[in-house]
Amino acid sequence: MQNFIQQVMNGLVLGSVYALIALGLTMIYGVLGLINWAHGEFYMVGAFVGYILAVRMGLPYFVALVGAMLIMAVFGIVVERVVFLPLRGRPNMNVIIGTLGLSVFLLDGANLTMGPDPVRFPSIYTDQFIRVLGISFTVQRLLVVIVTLVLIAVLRLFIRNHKLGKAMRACSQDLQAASLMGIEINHVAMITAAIAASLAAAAGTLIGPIFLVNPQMSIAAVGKAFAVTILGGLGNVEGAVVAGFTLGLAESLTVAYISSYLKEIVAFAILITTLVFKPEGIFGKHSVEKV
Amino acid sequence: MRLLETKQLTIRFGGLTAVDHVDLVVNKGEIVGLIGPNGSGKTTIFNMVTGIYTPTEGEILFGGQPIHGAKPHVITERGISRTFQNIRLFQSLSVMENVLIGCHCRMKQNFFDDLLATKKFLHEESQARRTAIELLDVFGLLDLQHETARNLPYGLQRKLEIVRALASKPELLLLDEPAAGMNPQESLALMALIRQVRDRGVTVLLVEHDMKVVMGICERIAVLNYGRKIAEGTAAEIQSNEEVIQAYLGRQAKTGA
Amino acid sequence: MIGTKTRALVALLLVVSVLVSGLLVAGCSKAEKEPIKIGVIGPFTGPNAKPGGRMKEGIELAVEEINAKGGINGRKIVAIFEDDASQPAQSVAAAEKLTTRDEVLLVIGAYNSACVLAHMQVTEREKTPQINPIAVATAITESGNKYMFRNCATNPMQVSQLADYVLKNFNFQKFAMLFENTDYGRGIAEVFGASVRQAGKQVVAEEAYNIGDTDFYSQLTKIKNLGPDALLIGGNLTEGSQIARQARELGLNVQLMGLGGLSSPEFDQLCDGANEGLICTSYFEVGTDDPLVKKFVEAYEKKFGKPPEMFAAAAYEAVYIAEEAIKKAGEHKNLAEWRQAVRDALAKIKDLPGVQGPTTFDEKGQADKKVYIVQWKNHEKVILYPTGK
Repeated sequence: MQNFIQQVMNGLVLGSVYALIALGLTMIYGVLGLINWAHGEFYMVGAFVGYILAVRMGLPYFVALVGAMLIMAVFGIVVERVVFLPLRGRPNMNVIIGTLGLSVFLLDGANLTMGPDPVRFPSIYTDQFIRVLGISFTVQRLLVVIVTLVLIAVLRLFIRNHKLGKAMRACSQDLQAASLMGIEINHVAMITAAIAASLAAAAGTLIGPIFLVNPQMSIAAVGKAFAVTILGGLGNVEGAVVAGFTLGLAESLTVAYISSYLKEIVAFAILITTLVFKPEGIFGKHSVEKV
Repeated sequence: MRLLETKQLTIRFGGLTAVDHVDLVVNKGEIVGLIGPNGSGKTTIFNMVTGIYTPTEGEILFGGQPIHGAKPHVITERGISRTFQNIRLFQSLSVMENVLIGCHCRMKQNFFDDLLATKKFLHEESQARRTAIELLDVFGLLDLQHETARNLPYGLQRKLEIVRALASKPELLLLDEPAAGMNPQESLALMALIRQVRDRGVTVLLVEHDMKVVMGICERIAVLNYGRKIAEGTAAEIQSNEEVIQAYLGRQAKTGA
Repeated sequence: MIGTKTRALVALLLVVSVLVSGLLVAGCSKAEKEPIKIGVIGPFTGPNAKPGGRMKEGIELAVEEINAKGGINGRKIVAIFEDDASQPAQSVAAAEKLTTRDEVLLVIGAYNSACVLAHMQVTEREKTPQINPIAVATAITESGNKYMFRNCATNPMQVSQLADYVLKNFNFQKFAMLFENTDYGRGIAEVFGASVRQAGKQVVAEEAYNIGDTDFYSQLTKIKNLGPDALLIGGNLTEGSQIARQARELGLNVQLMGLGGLSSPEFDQLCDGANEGLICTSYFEVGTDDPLVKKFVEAYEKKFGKPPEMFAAAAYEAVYIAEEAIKKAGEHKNLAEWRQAVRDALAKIKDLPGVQGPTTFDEKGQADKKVYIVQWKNHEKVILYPTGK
């Protein structure tokens, strides 16, 4: 039982990160209609921004977390203006090449400025342990789960109830009709990119102290994020959250009760099974017609 | 008073001239019909008026001001709203949310007011809700306000699309084949609805194939064929116009009406 | 007329003296023999440019030292460096150039096993002896290539040395292994597991992870529940350091063990103290009393302004092994004969002292090398083996 609880906790930590990264990816797809191949790099750059604020500049951890999210929100807006806007409505190949180009640019930029070697990003919460009922984790891990849940709740409230959130949902269903209903598409596009990038920054800054920060972290992250996004249904926000936690728990419990050799296989087996039987994702109710 | 006027309106897609020097006038308070065979350029004119396409040549004046080339959301703010040939509701949003989105452009606070939910924002938000409730009530959709749009029956989806368009408080409403797919009873209800809209002070420009609807409610009708306007006048005038009969009504008159 | 005769004589004398002096000059340059060319293949650009650079520095230092004391058999040596950028195809081209165009006597290199496996066919075809100081894939010396010699311990060698040491010096009953899911990692687990079982002890957990993984909580939780006495980390420093840290977070307080990469200062830095007490193998340690090592460390620090590490040491040692073989092989006019003589001399090398310990090649060309066994104590490495150094 202890073992099970510990493994569930492990799965929740993994799931939090998957969900945070996938949320941004799915929102950008939903609203802007493009698949952002550079999303893993958003996460990596966000982690480095958090690292610079917290470690190099010595700011308190939460200040660094919020700072990284704000800086990355601005970064998201810039990327939307400079890269996504010219790609809007272009053929898929242009979008793939454009965002892949951005991905290479950010990865090499990080390699040049921060170096390819991993760095440690200690926070005060990495050395505080919680040991109850024979399970053990650091405060930082608990923080990952809590902050993720809070961010998801806030995002949900925003999308459900806020005027801009409604506008985002409208845009994700019919960009042109939304525009004809008086919605300023450019504002919605910018705020979507800003939210997506700042969620990626939150993921990077939350997870950095647990793992290591290096440019290559983007590559492993993006594969999982795509899996989660597809599993949850492209463009589906709730789906991304549930799929993120599902995948995290599946991986953790596979290692615990089956075999660590099968960790990746189980994750992708879930994905493939879903695609075969429910190609629109677990939570996709209808296929969204894109403009 | 001229509300909408197009002057020598022309658009070309590659070598194809989809709309060819069309002059069209819609006066305030009128219900005007725009008819013509498939591919004659009716929806293309709608798309230029609402800012989806930019005309190759010519002008579009709204309330005397040029609007051609402006972005769709700007034109919506100026007071033109529309529905679509194939219903384009925000399917997974509720009835109320669809209408609230229509209210958006009448809410004039800035971005940060929105984001930080300032007092001004909250005030406008509640005002928008009141507008939406009022509209839903008038058009008999209030009981369904929490229903997801995709669950409504076809006729009500058409109605909701019109209500959503009205939420932006337009002066001019463009209806793109509102009667498509409706049975005769639903068509009758639609005609009543369109008159009701006009009686609220909204001018209506209508594209429609159902001649009963067009002839029944339009005060003036313009006829397009191959992108050119071939006739304009009252229902009676159009019905007796030789060229129109040749191009369009002939077939329709024999089979339909 | 005598005047003209005298003048003619003087002219003649002048011509003769010019000719003679010309001959003398020519004779002198013949006495100064042509240098011996040694080819070096390594990753001097690309992902492994850093260790490739250390390797190059070790070779430059050894060449400089040998030339300073007069070269080999009266000849200076020159090293010709060819970059393979860790690309097997590029390393084949490098080997072709060195053996056929530059006509080197011997090749040293490379860094990546994949590169050596690719280009060793070229050196074999050209019958050019090769000393491989760094690439550890077992297959390199198991393929029957008569021209390949390796002066470092292979993975299985260091793994079984570590296993033997731990089994002999600690009374551990249950072992767990967490290794990367690659040939490298699985190879480690196989050899270590075999040694443990042979000693009548138990392997309670064999868990794998993928390169690039960051979270090991699931595997470590499982391992913790199985209650081992010791955990072997079969991987590299990025994953290894996170495993050490996460094991500490989970309260998995067992003896940690690891291989070569975990003896680096970068590992220590990334561990943030979680490596305290960890035992691992190491190819090279600067802190020994071995006079040869001391001399090397001093010279290296003087030339490059930093302490040497394992790749520099291995490459440095390879040049001295080459020196010994070339010295023994003697002079040969024909390059093919000379290369053959050097190969034969290499095969006969026995107990040649070096900065990585004595070198003796077996019939497969593999040197019988021992690695260091060290333990991290307070961010420093304490040498457990060899003792008394």
